[in-house]
Amino acid sequence: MDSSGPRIARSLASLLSRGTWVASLVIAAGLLLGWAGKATAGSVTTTAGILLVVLLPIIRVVTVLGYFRTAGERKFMAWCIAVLAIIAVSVVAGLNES
Amino acid sequence: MTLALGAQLFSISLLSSLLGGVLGMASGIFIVPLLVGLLSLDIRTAITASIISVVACSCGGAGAALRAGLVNIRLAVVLEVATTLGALSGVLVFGLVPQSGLYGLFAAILVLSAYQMLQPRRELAEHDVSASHPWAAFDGAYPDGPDGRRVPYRVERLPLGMGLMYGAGLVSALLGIGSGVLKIPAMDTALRLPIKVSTATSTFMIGVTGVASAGAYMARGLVAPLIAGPVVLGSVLGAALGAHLMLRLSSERLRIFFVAVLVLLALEMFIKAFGIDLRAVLHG
Repeated sequence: MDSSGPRIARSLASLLSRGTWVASLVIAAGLLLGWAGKATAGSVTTTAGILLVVLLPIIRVVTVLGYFRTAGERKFMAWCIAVLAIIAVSVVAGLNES
Repeated sequence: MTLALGAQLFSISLLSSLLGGVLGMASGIFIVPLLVGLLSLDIRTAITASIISVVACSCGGAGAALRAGLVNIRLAVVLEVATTLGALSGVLVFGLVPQSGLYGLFAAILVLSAYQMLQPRRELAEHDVSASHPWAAFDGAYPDGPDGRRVPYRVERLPLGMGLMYGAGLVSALLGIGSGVLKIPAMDTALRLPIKVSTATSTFMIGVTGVASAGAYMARGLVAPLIAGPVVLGSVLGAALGAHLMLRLSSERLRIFFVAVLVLLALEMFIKAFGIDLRAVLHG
């Protein structure tokens, strides 16, 4: 049976829901700054908000990795590490082509 | 970027996400063709903005699914290895696929989505969860009915499911969509998950799948923040409103309307795939 308990589910739910709204607020602030004539500050803030969006699922995988580590489930830790490694390779591939 | 363009991006994304939310679909499948068709945005700009919004909507939507105890976290992590590998493949070929190829693939996915929408998802018969099988570590139970009775389920044919998930990740990276059209057959038919678990686990996974391509596109400088920003805001808000509306509206009545919308968008993408300028044709 899937024993990924309700505690980890609640932690992840809180992280993802709150994180999405925080990132959205940062993006909104950036867009408002841009429209108020502060182009550079607006662009930097909007980019920061988008980065937050992208970071959320990565933080989620790290949180799940920590949960499996505490539970001593090495196989599932390995799957989490594999996911993080693939994302890292993908970003590096993007950097190399930029 | 002008306020007017920002408002248009926001409105289109809000509407797309509202449509998707009512039907329990990710919004990318509507956002990309609408941005390309209505605002004449370059398809790659639309795709890279859409994938960020897909990640945001997945994160926003996963919260409710997690609280309801419907997400199979163990299974999600394993399937994410396949989806992120698919996304990595998509990232590597994204620049090599010609625009006409992206339009053609998008049109095919839209047609497939329309077909899938006409086929109601059916719950498969309950399994003998006591029998031993190779994927027992992923088996679970989910709350169902008014009394929240926990219904056990088992996971089947994991390698087939992972193969389909690789394809879903690839298509997600290439088109900036959540790829529910491929994930649904993978989870319902290959893994034989209950519909509620399948939908919740898919929503939970889309964010990580999307990040594998979104991170690369950001690193490559392909994400335009001032385009992606309003798209993300509109999508997050639309998805939240759509999820509330879904409970009040009869999605069966809307289904036929959305099938028509999907077919029209598919036509638009097919026409673009063949390089036909419809406006020029119409104006002689």
